[in-house]
Amino acid sequence: MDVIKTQQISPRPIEKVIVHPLVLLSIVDNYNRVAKDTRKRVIGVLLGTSFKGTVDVTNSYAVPFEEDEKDPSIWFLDHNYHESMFSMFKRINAKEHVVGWYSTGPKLRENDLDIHRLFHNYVPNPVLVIIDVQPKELGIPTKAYYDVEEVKENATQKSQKVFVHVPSEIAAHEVEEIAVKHLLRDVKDTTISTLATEVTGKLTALKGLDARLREIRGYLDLVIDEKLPLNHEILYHLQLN
Amino acid sequence: MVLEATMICIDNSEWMRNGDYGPSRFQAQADAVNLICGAKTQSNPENTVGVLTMAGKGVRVLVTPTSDLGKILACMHGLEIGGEMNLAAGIQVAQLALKHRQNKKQQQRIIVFAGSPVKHEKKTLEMIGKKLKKNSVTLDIVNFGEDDEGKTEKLEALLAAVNNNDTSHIVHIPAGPNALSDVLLSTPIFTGDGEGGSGFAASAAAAAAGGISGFEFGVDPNLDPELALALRVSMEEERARQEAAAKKAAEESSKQEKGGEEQDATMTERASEGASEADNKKNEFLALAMSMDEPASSQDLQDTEMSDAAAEDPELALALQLSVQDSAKDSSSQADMSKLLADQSFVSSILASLPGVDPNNPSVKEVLASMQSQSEPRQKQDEDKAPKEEDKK
Repeated sequence: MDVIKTQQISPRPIEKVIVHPLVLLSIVDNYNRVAKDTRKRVIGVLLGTSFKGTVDVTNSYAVPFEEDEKDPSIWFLDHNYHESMFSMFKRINAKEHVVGWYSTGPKLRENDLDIHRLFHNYVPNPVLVIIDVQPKELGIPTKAYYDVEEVKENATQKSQKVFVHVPSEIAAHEVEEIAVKHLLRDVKDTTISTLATEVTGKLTALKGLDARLREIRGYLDLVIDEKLPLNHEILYHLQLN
Repeated sequence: MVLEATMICIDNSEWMRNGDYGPSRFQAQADAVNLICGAKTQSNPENTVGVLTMAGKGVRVLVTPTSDLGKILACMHGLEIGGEMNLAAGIQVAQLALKHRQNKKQQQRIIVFAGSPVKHEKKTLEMIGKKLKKNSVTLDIVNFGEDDEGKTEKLEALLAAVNNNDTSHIVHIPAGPNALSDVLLSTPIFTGDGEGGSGFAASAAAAAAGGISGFEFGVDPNLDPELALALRVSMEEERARQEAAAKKAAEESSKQEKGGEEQDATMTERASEGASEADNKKNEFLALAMSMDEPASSQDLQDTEMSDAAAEDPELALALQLSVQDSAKDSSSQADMSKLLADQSFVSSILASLPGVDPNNPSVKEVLASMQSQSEPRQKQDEDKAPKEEDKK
């Protein structure tokens, strides 16, 4: 019998993460200023509100961050800077708290758990959002995670923290939508819709669906080959749909 | 007054519980850190200091470089001891923190307190040292606490790799009665700061010594310059007076020795008695000298009063100086007179000791009478002496 790691099916503290376009813009600007053509990444703080499991990220700012490329355990984040910056932001909008932090990844790195632990001092359940500033594939560029304590079946090892993915979406207030539309006018004019544009739209949607189906198929193949452990929750979702 | 950004790496490992320094190693270290922070911020108001811990759960930056002394002192509070020190990681994180200093003109410096055994290889430390040197970061190492095999060598190797024109230092502090911070005060870590830093260090030493002031006379010239000046002047005058008295005593004692030798030569059988006589005479000479001193000392008191007044008026000071010179001449002449007296009385006593000379000789009496009135008690003593000597003869 395989040892099955059970995952919690209980309600999670964070169900959904909503990222506003302003946040995306400022993160991209940060990246362009600091680490455009390097392999370094930038890190910053996310501000927003959290209500009944939904985290609404409305604002952000960068913080000075350095890490050693060769040794990931060597990193420095200026938390005095963060504290002074946050106190200034609080005076503008008292409702925005620290909800987590962002990284330009583009993927998770080893010291992310340590940095996440630092943010536990400021907010009980911080969320990490990885923004891919140069996306090569379709879909939204954000990926959100938060950490849970994972208790191993064999109690010899200390319980570790593990990142758990959480669905994210891009949404905006009405005022923000107007601003985004205004900016996009140079990029793409959505008012004019010809047959060509509609067909292109359908094509991209189908491409997205195809990519997701391939991913599911790949996952099931791996489970059959017993390369990945069986996960009841995922199968439940698949069967439901 | 070098413009510097400093990162202090604190060792809060388990080895810091040991009590061989001060109340505990950790406390001694904390005091030393406070002292360094104060000295750095005083020597240049734009200096920044940051603190990080090397042990515990891992390298953690407590305070990023700031010139706010209160923040630094506050973060030292409530630090926990535990874990093992990670020297390499600590120095590297300190370097990263210094990279982000706000004023790029500040010179980068790391001060490391190495109290527990160093588990890194010498090579690793040397590589780190070279990297620091490349980024022109200077390193100060305070080696205290545990001293296991190779620790001193490793630290010396690290220093050698970092050192550039002798700007980096290492200090070895053995356990002892002196507090860690006091010993540090005298090291180049403090004195390398320059005059401003040492000024703070001197006042800190004054406070640390507890009662014994670092400044003369227990008065801080910064707080009360006039009082300090007055005390200094009176001290100098007292010193001058004592020197003059010492000179007289020295001359008298040298003559005493000469007289003593002659007496011994003449009265070899009564060597001890001769010595006792010499002692008596010495006392008499000293009494004479002190009586001479009294008029001189009264002059000195007047001098101090006058000098206090002179502090305010330079012209008056000039006049006073001239008068002091005159009085000095007077006192010196008085000294000469006393020497003469001593000479005369001494000669008379020698004459008395010599066979064939009668002190009661009227001619000798006349000579003695021709001296100043102050010699009268002297004469009586001589006359008392003379019959004694006659008896001895």
